[in-house]
Amino acid sequence: MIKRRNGFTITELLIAASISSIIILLGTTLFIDSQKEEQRVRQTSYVTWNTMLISNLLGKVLRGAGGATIRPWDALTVEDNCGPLTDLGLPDCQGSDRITIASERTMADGSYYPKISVTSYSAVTGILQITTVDVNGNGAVDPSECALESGMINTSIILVNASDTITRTLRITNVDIATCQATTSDDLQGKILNHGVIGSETFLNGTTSPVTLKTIYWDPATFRIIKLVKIANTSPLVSADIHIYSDDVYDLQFALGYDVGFRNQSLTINGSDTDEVLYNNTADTMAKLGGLGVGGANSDLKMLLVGIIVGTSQYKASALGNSVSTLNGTVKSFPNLYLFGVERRFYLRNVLDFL
Amino acid sequence: MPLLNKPLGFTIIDALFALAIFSIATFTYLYQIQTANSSITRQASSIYGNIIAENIAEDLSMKSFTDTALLQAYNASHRRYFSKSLVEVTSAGNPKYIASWDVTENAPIAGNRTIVIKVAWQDGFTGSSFTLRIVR
Repeated sequence: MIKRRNGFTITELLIAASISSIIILLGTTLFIDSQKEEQRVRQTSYVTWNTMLISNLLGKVLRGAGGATIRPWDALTVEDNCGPLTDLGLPDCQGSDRITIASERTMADGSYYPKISVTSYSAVTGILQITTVDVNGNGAVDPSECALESGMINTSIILVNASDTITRTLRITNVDIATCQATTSDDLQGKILNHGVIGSETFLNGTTSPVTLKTIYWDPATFRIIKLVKIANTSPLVSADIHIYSDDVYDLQFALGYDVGFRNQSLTINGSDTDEVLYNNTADTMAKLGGLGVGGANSDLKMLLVGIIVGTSQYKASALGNSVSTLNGTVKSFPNLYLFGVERRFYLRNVLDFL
Repeated sequence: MPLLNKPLGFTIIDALFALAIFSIATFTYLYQIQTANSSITRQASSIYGNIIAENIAEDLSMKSFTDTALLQAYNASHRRYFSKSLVEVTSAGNPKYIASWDVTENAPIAGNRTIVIKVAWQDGFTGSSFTLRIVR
C-alpha cells in the first residue's frame, strides 16, 4: 500500500496561489473603483452646487444695476461675443460675453445720494455745471447749496439728459464748490455704457448720480470669472482692480429680456430670434425682438439672463467629456471634464420705480 | 483506509457557498455604482428644479399687482413645461419638468401676496418635486 504524503503538491499550491491572486486582484479593483466612484460623486456634487452658488452670487450683484435715480437700461451694457478691450487690458472673450454695470453709490449711512440736477455739460471742456438753488438768497453758492463735495474727486458719475436719450459715464477730476462745477473726463471703464450722440444737447435739466462701476467677464486663460473695478481711471490693468469670483468656469453668457410689443409684463423666452430676449440666439438684434416688426427700445429692458458653465475633472472621465451650451454660446466640451450649465433669470429690481 | 475514503475536491455545497459570497460582493459593488449614478442624476435634477422655480419667481416679479393672471386662483394656465435644457417646451415634446404656481392674496399680511411655486420631475421611476414659497 502506498502511503499518501501529507501537504500540498506544487500543482495545488500554484492553483491556490492563482485563485488567491485573482480574488485579491478583483477585491482591490472593486475597492479602487468604488473610491473613484465616490470621488466622481463628490466632484459632480461640487460642480453642481458651485454653479448654483456662482449664479446666485452674480445675480445679487447684477440685479443691482442702476439704483434709486438711475434707470437700469442706462446702467447696464452687455458685450456679446466681445473682443479685447485694450483701454482696460481685458482679453478677447472667445465666444463668451462681458457685462458692465453701474450701481448707484450710497453715502456712509447707507442712504442714496439725492438726485443731482444738471444745468449744462460740455463734452469739449468736460465741465459739468450742477444746478443750484440760492436757498438763503445771498446771491452766492454756499457749500450747503451745492450737491458736489470735494471728496467726489475720482468718483465715477452717470450723466443722463432730460429726455433719457443720451448717457455719458464720466470720472470727476476736480470739484469747484464756489461755482458748483465739476471737471470731468471720460471714464475708461464706464464709457461702454455711453449711448446717444451729444450733438447740440446741453444737458439742461439732465441728472447725474455717483456710481460704482463693475465689469464682469470670463478669462479664457485662467477659466475664471473676474470682476473688474477700476480704482484709478488709468489704462493699465492692475492687480488691485481684479476680484476673482470663481475658478473652473468654462463659459459665461448674458442676455437681456425686453418686454416689447404688447408690453404685457411678461417675456416670451423660447430661444428664437423673435422672442423677447436679446443674445439668446446668434441671429438676435434689437429690431427683431418680439417678432412684431417694431423691435425693442432701451426702456423695455426688464430682465437679465445669465448662463454659466462650470466644470470639474473626474477620475472616471471620458475622452470627449460631456457637451453643454448656454444661451447663444457655442457648445462646450473638453476631454476629461464634466460640465454643468445653468441659465438664471434676474428681474431688474428697480425697473418698477420708473413705470 | 480512512484517508483513501475522503472525497477529493469541492462539494457542490462548497461551490454554491463560494458563488453566493461572490454574488453578494458583486451585487454590493454594482448597487453602489448604481446608487452613486442615481445620486448624481438626482442632485442635478434637483438643482435644475430649484433654478426653474427661482426663474419663475423672477418672471412673476415682473407682473404688476393688478395683473389678472396673478389675481386668479390657480388654473391650468398657471403651468409651464420645461425640457431638460431648461428651454420652455411650448407645444409638443416630452418635458422632464412641470412647474405650476398658486397665488394667495393678502397673505401673510394685507397688501402682500404669497406665491407658491412647485416644480415636479421624474428621475427614472422616481418622482420628485421642489416647492418655493415667496412673498411679494
